[in-house]
Amino acid sequence: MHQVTQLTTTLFVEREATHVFPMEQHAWISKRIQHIDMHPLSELGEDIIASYASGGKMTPPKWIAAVDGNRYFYNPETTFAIQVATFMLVGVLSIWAIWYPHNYRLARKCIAGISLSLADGLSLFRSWRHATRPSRSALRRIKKLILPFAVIIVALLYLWWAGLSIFGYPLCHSLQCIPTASFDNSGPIIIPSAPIKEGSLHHEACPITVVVALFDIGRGENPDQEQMQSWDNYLSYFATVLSVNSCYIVHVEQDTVDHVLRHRGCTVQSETIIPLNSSLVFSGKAEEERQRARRPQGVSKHLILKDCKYPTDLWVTSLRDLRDSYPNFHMIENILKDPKSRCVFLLCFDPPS
Amino acid sequence: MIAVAWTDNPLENHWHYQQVVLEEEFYLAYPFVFHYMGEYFMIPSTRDTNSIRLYRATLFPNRWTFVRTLVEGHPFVNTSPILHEGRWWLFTLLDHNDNPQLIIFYSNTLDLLAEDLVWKPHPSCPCYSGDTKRTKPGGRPLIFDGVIYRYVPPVNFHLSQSPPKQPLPLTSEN
Repeated sequence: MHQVTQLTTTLFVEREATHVFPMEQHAWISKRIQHIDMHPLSELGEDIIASYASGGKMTPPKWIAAVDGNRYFYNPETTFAIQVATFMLVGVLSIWAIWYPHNYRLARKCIAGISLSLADGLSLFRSWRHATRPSRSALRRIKKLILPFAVIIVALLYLWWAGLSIFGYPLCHSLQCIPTASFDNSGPIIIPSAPIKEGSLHHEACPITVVVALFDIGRGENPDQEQMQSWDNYLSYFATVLSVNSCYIVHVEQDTVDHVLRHRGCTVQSETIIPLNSSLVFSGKAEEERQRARRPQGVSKHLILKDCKYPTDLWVTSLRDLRDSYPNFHMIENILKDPKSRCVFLLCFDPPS
Repeated sequence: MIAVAWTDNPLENHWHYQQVVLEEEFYLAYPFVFHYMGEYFMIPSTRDTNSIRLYRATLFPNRWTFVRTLVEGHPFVNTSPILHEGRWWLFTLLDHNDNPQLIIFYSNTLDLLAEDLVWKPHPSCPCYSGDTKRTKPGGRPLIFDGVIYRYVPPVNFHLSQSPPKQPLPLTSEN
């Protein structure tokens, strides 16, 4: 850590200040840190300043720091030991299999578990041997040639790749000598599409429009059906579906709106009431009022979304209303008729009976 | 590309990957995000463009839009801005492989979007040259109790470990 003692347009002076924020090696592998982002846990930092002002008599301040670096310590001695052990094991098995043909089958099973490539090589050798039936003297000469060749190849292969080989990786991974990802949920990488044109209808922004709905029908609450998925599980699956970068029309209940907005990257600009059984296209206010008067309970909220990362039409409705809106539940007429829509998917988690 | 992860409680160290939020044709790293005047800005490391580029969040944290080039002409790495005494300061590494240098730029105005925004190199710079233990910014400079602290990685894995080629530090005092 460096302390900048003077910074003006003409002067820059700093000094090393490693004592100011000492880093404990137990917390992370500080030698590998290339980046650190520190913030006081107190929003205003008042308790921190007070603590320093009191000369350390008060409770030490707490900070939070985002850092990078390796999660596990890289141990070259462990890796080298694994390389040597792997090489020796594979070498011994190879010699055993080649030198004693009656043990071939058993050896092949062992070797196949260690290295498929080596097993394939032995299979080729066996096929060649059965096909040509060479004499014993010829076989001895071949063994003399193959043995050192195989040892050299295997040695090079496993010395170089032991840490990442089929056999070496699990070992090395269990010994924590290979850094692992720290994210518990490394989801799919979404490649953004072209930005949505201003003022365009959502389904014009991309060739595929996905119509999807999710409603809690209480499966997880039924004590007689313990194996049924919980609502949280459905929400989790639904999040994966929502991560697809395509145009979406999403039907949910009010409680699920935030979940959808979060995974589609949208903010709500305003809400508009859209009557059911009408066109998907936004209708005028007079028509809206007329429809509402005719079916006071059959209305859905159409949230006007703004700044969506992915194009989304979000409808707040109920399962019953959804069925009324889409009579066949498999046909979205307005979208199908649209010449710009090349394909329509209907993802149905719980098909209606 | 730059991606985003979220957590409900950072103290529990339980983060969820969300999505890629910025992708360019060139290499992106070191996403330095800061909040100023109600908006989120980001200065990622864009060494391949030989420039320092400023992005603004049109939908934080999912959508970022390129705003302007702040400084150009050299391969800058790990640019770290701070707000200090009424102007912006950029601590950045001029990443010449054989002679990395710490450079500081300062602005003439606080408005990052102003048309007359100008960045001037600090007269003391290159502040350090060749010394990898001092040149490379390693994160957000911390202003605590009126004092600026900046972190420098103790070991540099990407730059040459050559010894300093010039006396240091180069300040207006010497």
